[in-house]
Amino acid sequence: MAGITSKTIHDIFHSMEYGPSSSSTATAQAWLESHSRALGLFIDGKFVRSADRQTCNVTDSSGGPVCSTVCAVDEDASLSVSSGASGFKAWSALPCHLRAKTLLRLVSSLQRHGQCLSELCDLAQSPSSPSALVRLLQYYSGWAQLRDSLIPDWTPRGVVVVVVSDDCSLYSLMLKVLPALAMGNAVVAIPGVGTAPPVLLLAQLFVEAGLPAGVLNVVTGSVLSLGSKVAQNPHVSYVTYSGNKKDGEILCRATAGMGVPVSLSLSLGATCPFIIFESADIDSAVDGVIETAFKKNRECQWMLCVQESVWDSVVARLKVRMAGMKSVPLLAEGDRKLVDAAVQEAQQQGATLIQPCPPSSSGAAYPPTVLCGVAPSCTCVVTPSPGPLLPLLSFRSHGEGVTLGNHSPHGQAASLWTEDLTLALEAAKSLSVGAVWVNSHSVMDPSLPLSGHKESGNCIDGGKEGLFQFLRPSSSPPLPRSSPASVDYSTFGTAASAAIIPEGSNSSSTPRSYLQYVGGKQCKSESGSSVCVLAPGGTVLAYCPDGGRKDVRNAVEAAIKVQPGWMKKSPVARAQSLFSLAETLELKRRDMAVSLHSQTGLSLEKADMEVELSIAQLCDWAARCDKERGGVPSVPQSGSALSIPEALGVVGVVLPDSSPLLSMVSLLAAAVAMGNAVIMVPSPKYPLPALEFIQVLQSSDLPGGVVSIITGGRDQLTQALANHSVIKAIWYWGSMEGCQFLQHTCASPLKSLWLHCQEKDGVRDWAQPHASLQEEMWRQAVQWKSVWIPTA
Amino acid sequence: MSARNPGMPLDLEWVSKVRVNTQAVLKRAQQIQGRNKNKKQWQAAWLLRAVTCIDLTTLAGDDTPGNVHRLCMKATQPVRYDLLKSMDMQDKGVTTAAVCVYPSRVADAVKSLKAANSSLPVASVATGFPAGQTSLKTRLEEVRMAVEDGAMEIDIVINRTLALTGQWEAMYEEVCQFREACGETHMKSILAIGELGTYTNVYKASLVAMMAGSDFIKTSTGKESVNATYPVAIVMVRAIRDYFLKTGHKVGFKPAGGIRTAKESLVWLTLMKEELGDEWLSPHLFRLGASSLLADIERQVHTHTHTHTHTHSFQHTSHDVTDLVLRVERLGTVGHHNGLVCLLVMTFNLIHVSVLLITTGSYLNDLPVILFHLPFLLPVSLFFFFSFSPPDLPSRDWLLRSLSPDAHGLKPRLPFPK
Repeated sequence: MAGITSKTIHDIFHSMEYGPSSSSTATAQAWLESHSRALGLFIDGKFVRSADRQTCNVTDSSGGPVCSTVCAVDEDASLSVSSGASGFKAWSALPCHLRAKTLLRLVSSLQRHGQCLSELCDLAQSPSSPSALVRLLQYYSGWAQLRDSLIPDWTPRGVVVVVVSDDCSLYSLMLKVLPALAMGNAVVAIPGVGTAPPVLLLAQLFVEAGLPAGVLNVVTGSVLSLGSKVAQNPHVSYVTYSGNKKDGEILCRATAGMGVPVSLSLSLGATCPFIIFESADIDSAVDGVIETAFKKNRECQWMLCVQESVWDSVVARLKVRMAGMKSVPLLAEGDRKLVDAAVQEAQQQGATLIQPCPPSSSGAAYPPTVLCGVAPSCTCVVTPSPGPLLPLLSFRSHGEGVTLGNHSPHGQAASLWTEDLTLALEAAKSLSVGAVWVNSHSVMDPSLPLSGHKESGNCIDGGKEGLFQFLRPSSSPPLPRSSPASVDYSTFGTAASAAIIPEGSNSSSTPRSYLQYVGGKQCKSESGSSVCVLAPGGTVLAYCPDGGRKDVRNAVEAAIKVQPGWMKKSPVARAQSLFSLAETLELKRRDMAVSLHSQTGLSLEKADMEVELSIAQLCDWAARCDKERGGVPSVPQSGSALSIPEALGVVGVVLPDSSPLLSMVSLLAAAVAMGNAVIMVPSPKYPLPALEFIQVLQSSDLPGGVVSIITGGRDQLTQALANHSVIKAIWYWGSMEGCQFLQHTCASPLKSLWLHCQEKDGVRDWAQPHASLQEEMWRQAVQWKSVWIPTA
Repeated sequence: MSARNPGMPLDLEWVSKVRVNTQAVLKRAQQIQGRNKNKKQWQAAWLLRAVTCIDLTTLAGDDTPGNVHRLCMKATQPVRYDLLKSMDMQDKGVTTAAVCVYPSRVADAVKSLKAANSSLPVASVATGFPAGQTSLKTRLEEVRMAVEDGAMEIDIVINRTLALTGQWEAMYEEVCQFREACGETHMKSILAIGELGTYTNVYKASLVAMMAGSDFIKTSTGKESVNATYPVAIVMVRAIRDYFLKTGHKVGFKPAGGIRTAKESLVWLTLMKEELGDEWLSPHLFRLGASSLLADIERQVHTHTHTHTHTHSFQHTSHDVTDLVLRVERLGTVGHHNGLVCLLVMTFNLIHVSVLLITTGSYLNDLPVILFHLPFLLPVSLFFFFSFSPPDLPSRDWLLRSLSPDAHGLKPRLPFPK
C-alpha cells in the first residue's frame, strides 16, 4: 500500500500512468482454506487424501505457495479407473437428455462460482476465463442432448483418459473432457501442476451439479508416468493427450502395445505463421501482433511474415506500439540463457532488434523483442526458444508468403491478414494448418474443429468432428487389450522372408509369377526376389514379388508427384474415375471371381458375390466424393466459419486377410475418393485378388501413382511404411506386435494410426457395410481445417 | 499550442491504398473500453487531465452574451476550488482547454475572458456549421470574420458531398483555402463521420484533411445522428499515426458530440494513450468537445475527494433535498459518518418545524396541518434510532426512500441551509 499512497494526484496528472490493477483472490483463498491448502485426488465423487503420499507444491507468479497436490501412485491410478468403470455404467445408461441436463446444471453452478474459478486459475498461473468454459459446456450439453438422434449407431468408448502436459491450459483440457462426458464416457483427467487446482474445483462443482460419482475422476502427480500407469489398466479404452510435443511422444511410446488407441493434440509450442499481405489493414494486423505475440503463457509461437511492400510500415508501427511495453516474465529460471542465445544467434545472422528497452543484464524477465529479417532457416524460427521473441520474415509474392507459412514442420494454425477475399480464401486453402484465422487470431470456439496438421497432432478437437474420437461404431469391436510384449523396435520387420522351395511341383500348371504395381507401372520388387503364394491346399499357387523398403520409397515418390493434383481435381472428376474403376471391375468380374476362388477356396458363387459387393463399394464411394463436405459452423461472434475436410496425403494400408478383395476395394475407394494416394500392402496370405486387381487399375483412368500395391512380408513392409516420413496415416490389420511397433514408431514423425489386431479382433464383416463403418472410414481418410472470417 | 501542421501536397496514391477492417477495429474498440480500471487517485488525476482537454462548448440557437459569459467563467474555474484544494491541485492551473462558440458569439466570449483576466483561447465553429451547405465564398468569409473577432481556433466542417463522392482533390483544395483564411489561427477539421459511410472513407478524409494542413481532426459536429464513437476514433487516430510516421507532423484529435460522462472521458484518454502514446494526452494534441461532460466529471471528482481523502465541506450554494439524498448515500458508505448526517437532517427538521409554526400561527389551533406534516418528522426520528443501530440494518436505504420528495407527494419548501 505504501507505493500506492506515495503517488500524489499531481504526479499522476503529469505522468498519466495507469493505476495498479488490484485483483482480489479472496474467494479462491477461502476455497483453498476449506481444503487446508492441501488438495487430494478426486476419485469416486469425493476428495481422497492418503497421508503417505508425496505432495507437489503449486506456486503463484511470485513464487509463493498456493496449495499442495498429491502425487498419485499405482494404487490411486487403478482406483480411479475402476471407479471410472463403475461411473461409466451409470452415466452411459442415462438417456441423452439427462446427461445434457447435468452439463447444463454445471453451467449455472459455474456461473455462480466463476469468480472463484478465475481467481484460482490466476493464482495457479494457468489463466482461463469462466465465460469460455461456460460456452464449452453449453455447446457440449447440446451434443449430449442430440447424440442419439444425430450420431446414431455410435457408442461411447468407455473410460477415457485425458492427459495434458504441465504447460497446457485449462481450456484445452476441458475441450477434451467435456465432449468425452457429453458422449457418455467416464473420464480420468490427469491435469498438469497449474491446471490441477481449477480442475479439482470443477470436478467438485460437477458432482454438485449431479454428475454420478466416478464419471469424472481427477488424479494429480507427475503427468507422464501417471498417464501410462492409468492407461495400463484394462478398463481404459482410449487415451487422448494435449500439450507439448516432447511429452506427447514419450506418452505415446510408453503406452505402445497396451491395446489402447492414443491420440495427440500437440498444439503447444507450435510455430504458427502470422502473415500480413500488402492488402491488409496494417494497423489492425499490428494490433493483433501486439496482443498475442508477447504474452507470458501463449499457446503458439508466432512467426511474423510480412510482404515486402508493407515491410516499412509494419516495422514503424511495431516500433510505436512496442515503445511502452514492459518486460515479460519468463516461465522458468533457466529460460534466460536460451533467450539470450537465440537473440545472439539471430543477430549474428543479420537480424536487427526492435525492443522497447534493452534487456536487464540478468533476471527472469525479457523485453518483448522482434527479430527483424531473420532467415527461415534460423534456429529461432525452426525451434523457437521460450520468451517474448517474435521472428519477422519478409516475402515478395502471395505464393511466397504461403510457402513461407508452410515452412515449419508444425501445422497448428495461421493468422492471415488481407482485405482481399479471393486472396484470403486461396491462401487459406493452400496453408497446411488446422485453423486459419483471417484478419483475426487465436479465435477459439468449440464449434470450430481444431486439428493439427503435419507434426501438430493426429487428433481432432471441437466441432462435431471432434466427437468421434470418443465414440466407436456400435458394430465394430474396440482394440483388444493386452499388455506390451517385449518387441525389439530396432529389429522389427527386418528378418528376411523365409524361402519356401516347393516340393514336387505339379507339372500340369506352373505357378504364375505376378508383378506388383508402383507408380502406375507393373514391376518386380527392387530386391528382385519373390515369395510363393500357397493355395488353401498347400500347393504353390503363384509367385509374388517380395517388396521392401525401396519399393515403398518408390511408391511414395510416385504418390507425392500425383497426389496434390488428384486432391485438387474436382470431386466430380474423382467420382468419374471411381465409376470407371467400377465398370472395369464389372468387365473383369469373371477373372476376379476365379482368382478369389483359387486363392481362398471360396465357392465361385460366393466369390462372385464378393466381386459384386466390391463393385457396389466403388460406386458408393464414387457417389460420396461430392457429398462428404464440411460445414458452416455457427459461432457466437459475427462472421463466417468454415470447416473443410481435406485429404491427408499419402496413406499406407496394410490389408486384412478376411475378404481380401472386398476389404481392399473398400479401403482403397475410401482413401482415393477423399483425394489421398494409397500404398497398399495385400495380406501375405491372400495376395492374389489384389495382384489381379492391378489389371483393373491399369485400364482405369486413375493417375498412375495414386494407388500402389506392394506385396511381401507384412512386418517388413509395415516397418518400411512406418519409417517413411511422408506417409501421413497408416491403416493396419495385423499382429499385436505390429500394432505395438506402429504405436511406438509413429510417435515421431507423427502419423495417424487406425489399428486392428487380426488375432484377437473378431473378424470384421466387410460384406455388411453399416453406415457407421463407412462414416468411420471416411473420417479416417480426411483431416480437418477450419477457416474463420470475422465480419462486422 | 505547439508546432503547427504545415500540410503537404495531396498524395492520392497514399489515400487510395487505405484499408480498414471493420471488425478488427470494433474488436480493438471493445478491448480499449475494457482496459481502464483506474481507481482512487489515478482516477481523480485522469479526470482532472480530461478537464484540461475539454473544449467547453455551447452551440445553441438561444446563446446570449449572458450564458456565454457564464460558460467562460466556468471554463476558467471548471472544478470547485475547495475540491481542487483537497487534492492539492488548486494552483496547478486546471482550466478547460478552450471555450467553443458560434462565430457571432466570439466577440462576447473574448470580452468575458479578457475581463476575467484569462488567456483561455476562444474557438469558433465556422464554414456553415453544422451542414456546410453554403457557398464557398460565404464559408471563407465566415472564417475571416471569426478570426477578426479574436477566435484563436477555428473548427471548420468539411464538404461531405466531396468526401462521399471521392473528390479528394476538390476537398483538399477547399480545406487548403480554409487554412489560408485562418492564417495564424489553428484549424480543426470536422469530418462529420456520421455522414461518411464507411471507416475507409473516414480514414481517407482524415488523411486529406491533414495533408491540407489541419491542426486537429474532429469527429463530428454533434448535430449528426452518429457522433463520436470509439471505433471511428480508432480509425481517425490511426490516420494521425500514419501521417505522423510518414511526415513527422503531429496532428491533434478532437472527439465531439455525445460525450457526457466522466467514465467516457477516461475511455477517451485510454484510447489516446494506447494508440498514440502519452504525448497525445495533453490539450495541444487532444480535445474533448463537450457541453455537459464537465458537470459529471466534477461530480466524480467530488466523490473521489469524499470517499478517499475524508475531507468534507458543505459550503454549497444551491442544494435541494435530492442533492442531500445523494450526499447521504455517499456518506452512508462510510459508517462513522452517520452521526454527522443525523445532525444535518436534524437541522433541516428544526427549520421545517419553525416554518410550520410561523405559517400556521399556533400549532395547537391547527392540528390537521401538524398531522399533515407528520410524515416529515417521522422518518427523521426513525433515522435517529437506526443511526445508532448496527450498520448492517437497512437504515440507509429506508431513509433514502422516505427522504425523497416523491414519497410524500410534496415539494420541499425550503432550500438546504447555507
